[in-house]
Amino acid sequence: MSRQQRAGSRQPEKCECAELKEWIALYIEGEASGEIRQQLLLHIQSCGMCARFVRSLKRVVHYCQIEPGWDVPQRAHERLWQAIEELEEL
Amino acid sequence: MVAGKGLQVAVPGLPVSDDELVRRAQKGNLVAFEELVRRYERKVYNITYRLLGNEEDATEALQDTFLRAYRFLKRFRFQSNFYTWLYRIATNVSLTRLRRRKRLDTVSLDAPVKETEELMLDIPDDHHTPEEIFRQKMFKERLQEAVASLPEDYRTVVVLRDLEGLSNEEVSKVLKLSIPAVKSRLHRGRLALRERLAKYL
Repeated sequence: MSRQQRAGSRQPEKCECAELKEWIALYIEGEASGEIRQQLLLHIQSCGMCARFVRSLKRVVHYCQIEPGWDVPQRAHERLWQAIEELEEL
Repeated sequence: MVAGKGLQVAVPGLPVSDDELVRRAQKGNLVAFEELVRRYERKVYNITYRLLGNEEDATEALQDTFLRAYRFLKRFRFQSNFYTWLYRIATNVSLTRLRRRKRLDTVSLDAPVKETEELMLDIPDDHHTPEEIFRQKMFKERLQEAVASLPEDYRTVVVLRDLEGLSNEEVSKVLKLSIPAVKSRLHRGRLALRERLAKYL
């Protein structure tokens, strides 16, 4: 990303580096080849905006993946099993 | 309540496989079907809750999913894992219910994430301090709101892949999409989620 682009950006949370956009999905999935990964990391070192972008995207994925979910509420559980019991009576 | 009933295992000490339970259930063994319900009740509830965004709809969809699975169980041909087939039913039931809603009364697709608390989340060193527990609880709620606000195509993939832990291959089977399509929607969904949660990240 050029300084001009950076200075002119009105939405600093958005990444506008084309090369990063192409690689970021592969990188997040751990599927980037060694060369692409290396270039991506070099780019991130020189572009704070992209570094923040990648960091926040990795965090979103991380928090999704560790999110434990919910236990089934008692009422939902009881209604389900009531319906299953009714199958026995058919 | 039948939830506490046990099931005789084929080999003592080893759990009966899903496929074996399905075979028994296809022959009319309701106890086998109940064991499948016990195994997947929580997972199916989480899929329906995440797709629908509220407990009432998720409760209905949970029930619909298993009743539909029971009704159509004889059509299951063992060409995929039982759970893949079940999650497809859960997803379809949820999306049908979602589309039927004339208007989204609990979440708007364009609704911004609540801004009541400023959460600066790092990956925490200590998960057990009261402050961290509070942060995690608040983030859990904000995350669910953000997921519920995603466009349907992105939401289904993000829920199944990132939140419920299915592989790309499994998601492609559940949603009948190509793997490149799954990957594309997943990435777009993640980007959309990041935008919605940016202030907490």
